[in-house]
Amino acid sequence: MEVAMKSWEFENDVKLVDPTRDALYNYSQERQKEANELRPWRSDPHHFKHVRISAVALIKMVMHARSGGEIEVMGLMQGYTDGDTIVVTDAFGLPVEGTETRVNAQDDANEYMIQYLQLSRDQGSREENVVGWYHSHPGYGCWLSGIDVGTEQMQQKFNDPFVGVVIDPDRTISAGRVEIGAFRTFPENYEAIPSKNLSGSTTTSGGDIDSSAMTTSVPLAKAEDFGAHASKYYSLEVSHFKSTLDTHLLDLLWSKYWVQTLSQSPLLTNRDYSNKQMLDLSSKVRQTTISLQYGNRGAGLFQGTKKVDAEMEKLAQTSHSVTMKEKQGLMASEVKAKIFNGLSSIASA
Amino acid sequence: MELATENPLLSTQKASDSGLQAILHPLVLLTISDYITRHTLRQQPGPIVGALIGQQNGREVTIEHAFECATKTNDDKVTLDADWFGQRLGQMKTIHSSPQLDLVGWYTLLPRTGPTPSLLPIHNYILSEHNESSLLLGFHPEESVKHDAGSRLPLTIYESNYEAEEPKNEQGEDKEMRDGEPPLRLRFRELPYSVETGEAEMISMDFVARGAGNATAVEPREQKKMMPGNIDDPKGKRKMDFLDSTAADSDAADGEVHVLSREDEEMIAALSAKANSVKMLQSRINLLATYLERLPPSYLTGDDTTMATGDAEPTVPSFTILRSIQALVNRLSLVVPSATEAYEQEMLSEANDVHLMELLNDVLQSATDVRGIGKKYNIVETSRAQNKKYVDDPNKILGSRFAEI
Repeated sequence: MEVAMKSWEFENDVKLVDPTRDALYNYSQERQKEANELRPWRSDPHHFKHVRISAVALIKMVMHARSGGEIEVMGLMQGYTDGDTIVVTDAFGLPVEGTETRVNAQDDANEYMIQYLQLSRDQGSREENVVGWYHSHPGYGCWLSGIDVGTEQMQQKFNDPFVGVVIDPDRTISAGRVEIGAFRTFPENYEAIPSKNLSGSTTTSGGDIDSSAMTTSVPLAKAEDFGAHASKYYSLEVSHFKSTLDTHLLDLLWSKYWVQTLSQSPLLTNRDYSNKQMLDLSSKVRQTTISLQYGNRGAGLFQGTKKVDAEMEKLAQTSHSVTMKEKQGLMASEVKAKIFNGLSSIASA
Repeated sequence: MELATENPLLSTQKASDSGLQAILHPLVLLTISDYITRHTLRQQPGPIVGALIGQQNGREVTIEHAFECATKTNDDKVTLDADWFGQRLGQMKTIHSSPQLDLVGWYTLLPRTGPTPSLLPIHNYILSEHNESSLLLGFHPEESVKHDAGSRLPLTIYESNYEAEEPKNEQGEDKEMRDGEPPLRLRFRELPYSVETGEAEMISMDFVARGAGNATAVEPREQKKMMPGNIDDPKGKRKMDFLDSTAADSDAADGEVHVLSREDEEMIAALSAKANSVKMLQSRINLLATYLERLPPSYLTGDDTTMATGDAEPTVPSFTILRSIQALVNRLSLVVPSATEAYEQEMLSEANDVHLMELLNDVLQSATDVRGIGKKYNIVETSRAQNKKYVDDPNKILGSRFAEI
């Protein structure tokens, strides 16, 4: 028994990690406390510029967002801060479901959260505090709604450092890449200076729709909500990290899931979503057409034409991306047909 | 296999006859890997133990999520913290309620040779309290550091059941353990498993694996971090040699200097993924073909006489493999839809839809371009008209020049 025990412990001790390359996985409570004492984010509303999300946390969040379907889901992220970066090491879902843009943590969720964190700490391997929350925006892009801004502002007031992450599962599926955005709000009395905006997004004057850093377009139905709050927060650069062991496992996994890459048919699976996108595009085109006609009549308004130009440009871009995605889907099915449809003749021959 | 039979905890029957099939989701793997990395770096005490949750449909068990567990050590025995475990499991069930996931097993680190007696307390606890057909996932750390491990994942999934004692040379270790156990003894058997991913899981996996995203923007910070002797993972660099197109992709996202738009880059990425998987398919087919070619000549010609004098050089034929190849070839004709006509119709209309969209897109693009040209033309026209005015009225232009002087 003794020997077996020893050998088990020995097994657990195998060096699978490269301490320098996997440094982000390390965590020291004391160091974190020290860093948090300084509170540099108090003086500079732009203090945090990057978010780094671990592979596990990212996948968990995307899967959770996807499992909600049309309903918004939310959860919390555990991690720590490092200079101007917020490092997210893990994420967990909360048993709350919101409708539309109204995700709000409720009491039973609070209880769940406290219990979860306590258990994590008892377990010993996960001592990090909560550094943020995430929720999903199925189909309408990554940005903060009015209520989200309120939630984030409140958390930043009492729970800083705190970051808000938004994931769009529908666009993730249709684009084949993870649509994710991370945001922090400005303090209530803070005047956003557009030129300082890190995301490089062009903050607008006069509350018209702004194309944000992710060049996502907001559906018409949500545009008002989006425009009204766009100047109250800024977006952080999101990147992800994985350990050496993860990398190795992922290499091994590729040999398992290449079949799915070949067998998927995005045209069919995304039909709903792309139809919705086209509908939205067409109503936007109609709107632009109307404003174009107005512009022609009152020919003196230069500002008006400028706005129409910007809208036109955005429409062109959106239609381009929608078309390209459709084209990708078509390619996928054509490749499949080319490879597999000729089989019957060969097999029978 | 000789090593495996030495392990008293492994069943002597090699293959599982229960018909259970485990389906593993990659998230579980990454969770385990994450735990191992964290555990090692933070130098945490205790063994690596975690629970697996998933669904069981008939003889199929899916393993979809995993979470690490708190353990207690007393009298050289490692057991789960029952209170803790119950609470956390309840939480996991609450959050994964549609579809409802339940405990299906647990994981730990194991040597390739199989389960060791020290993990029996935990296994027995789970069997008696939670799920009597609990699985055990053994992660083999020594194998995952080897890079020549091939395409096999460094893990084994075991099922356990009670088997009648066999008359066999007992080792001292075993006797000790038998003390409190029923005459039927717990044995582990390897279970076949396959890896499956959901759509969202696959995309995020792919995203993580490729390291696409906004890595370039973080680069200056990483360099800055390197300089003071600080450390950071080299994901950014790894990404570079992985897929150049994705690197360009993230560049394109934050600047208009690049000719290719983000959509074009996405297209290229999708196509190269396709190309890679086609290559993979081809290499698999080539492997099969090579296998068949290297069979003893008697198999190829169907000549029975040379059977006995098979040379050592050709591969020894395995009937299971041959049979599955045969089955595969027979199934090929099923891949093609039976109503070819209707299928082609459908394909055509699908393609037409997409082409129509492309045309509409072209119209919109042209409209935008025309508008741009119109504006430019307007500017040119205005300035020309002004010039003309000057030419028509040279006095005025002189006058203006004088005014300038």
